[in-house]
Amino acid sequence: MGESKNLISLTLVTPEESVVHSEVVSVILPGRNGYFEVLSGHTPFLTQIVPGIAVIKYEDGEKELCVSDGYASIHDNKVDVIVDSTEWADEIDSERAQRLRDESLKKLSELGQFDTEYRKWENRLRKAEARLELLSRKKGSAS
Amino acid sequence: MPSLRAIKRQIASITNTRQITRAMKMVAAAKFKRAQENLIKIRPYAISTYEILDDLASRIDISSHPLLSRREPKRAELVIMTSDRGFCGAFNSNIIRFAEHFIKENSGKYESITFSCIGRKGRDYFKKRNYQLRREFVKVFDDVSFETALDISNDLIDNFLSSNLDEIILIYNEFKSVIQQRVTSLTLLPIIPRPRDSDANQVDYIYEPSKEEVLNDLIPRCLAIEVYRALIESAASEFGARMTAMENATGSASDMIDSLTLKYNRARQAAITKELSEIITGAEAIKK
Repeated sequence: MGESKNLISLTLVTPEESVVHSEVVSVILPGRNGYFEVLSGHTPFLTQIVPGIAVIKYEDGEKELCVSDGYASIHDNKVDVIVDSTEWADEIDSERAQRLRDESLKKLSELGQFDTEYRKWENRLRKAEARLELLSRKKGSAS
Repeated sequence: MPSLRAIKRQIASITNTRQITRAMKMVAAAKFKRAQENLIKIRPYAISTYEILDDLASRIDISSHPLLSRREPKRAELVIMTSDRGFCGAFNSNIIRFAEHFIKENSGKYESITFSCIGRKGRDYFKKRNYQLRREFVKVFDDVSFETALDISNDLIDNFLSSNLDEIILIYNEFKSVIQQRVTSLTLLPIIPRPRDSDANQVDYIYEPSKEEVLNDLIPRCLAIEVYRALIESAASEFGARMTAMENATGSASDMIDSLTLKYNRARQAAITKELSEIITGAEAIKK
């Protein structure tokens, strides 16, 4: 890592484990206001993370994983991501994700926009969709 | 010289004690393993969270959120983490000594010092001595849950926000190794950022979705995680301390049994020799 001028140091942790701790080229994260990519020299940035897919680009390839709610702090070429949980593609149970998506869709159609439960189910739907999306991407790249 | 029977009774009693200490060591070891696993899991998360908070505090204007405000510290609160049960060596007395020392040193600085005691031992101690106990939590260490940590931290946050408390200090045992715990104090509130070497980078963050929303959620979350980590550190330390204490006790009991057995055998041999010489003398007397 001699000339690591264009690398950023990424730390991705959950209460369960330290998932990623390495120098990367860039990382794409699902922020509250949409996906964003962090490259070296990013301005200080603090955002909520919502369920979605994080794409980590290393010098020799990239990795994708699902993340749930949390925070990301970016400053001085350091990215700290704390989320409640993460899943790699091979950890996802596609049937369970499908069930969760169907259930959340059903709930959401029953609940009103301003119901207290609405945000919760919206969140679950997002998680389920992120999982399914990641699985389909993996399938696409495998064939 | 004590009688043979007395020594035998003593040996039996110490053997019983050894059995108990050995069993307690096993129990502590099992609990310790679980606590240590939890600790290994949570540490990196807690450190990252704390770094975010720390960095935030150094960049942001302290008037942006009530939890970042710093007042003249008049009312301090010590959150003291001890164990619920004894038999863990100097674990509790170290904490209590540290706390009392702290009170003595700082009593002039604050108008009042109140206490939140987590763990029965500390609660009993401070209650007996008429300290101002504000809240107490017992039976949390067997299975430390995040809910408990939230409960504790929310209470502290509420009191800080309503200006009931100006400074909150956690005192707990930090886990080093099975045989080593370090009494640590940590100022939970107000949030004091570490001094930086250069202030060239002190640009405020860009927040998403908004500064208020992020801070309202992030700061309490960070504090709860900090409390949670302290609880887990304390639990791991406690079980580690108990394990070593019980191992030492088992060792001492074994030593005592060894020396008593030696004493017993000597006494027995002396008795046999005495009996023999009596028989021989008797036989000699009959011969004549």
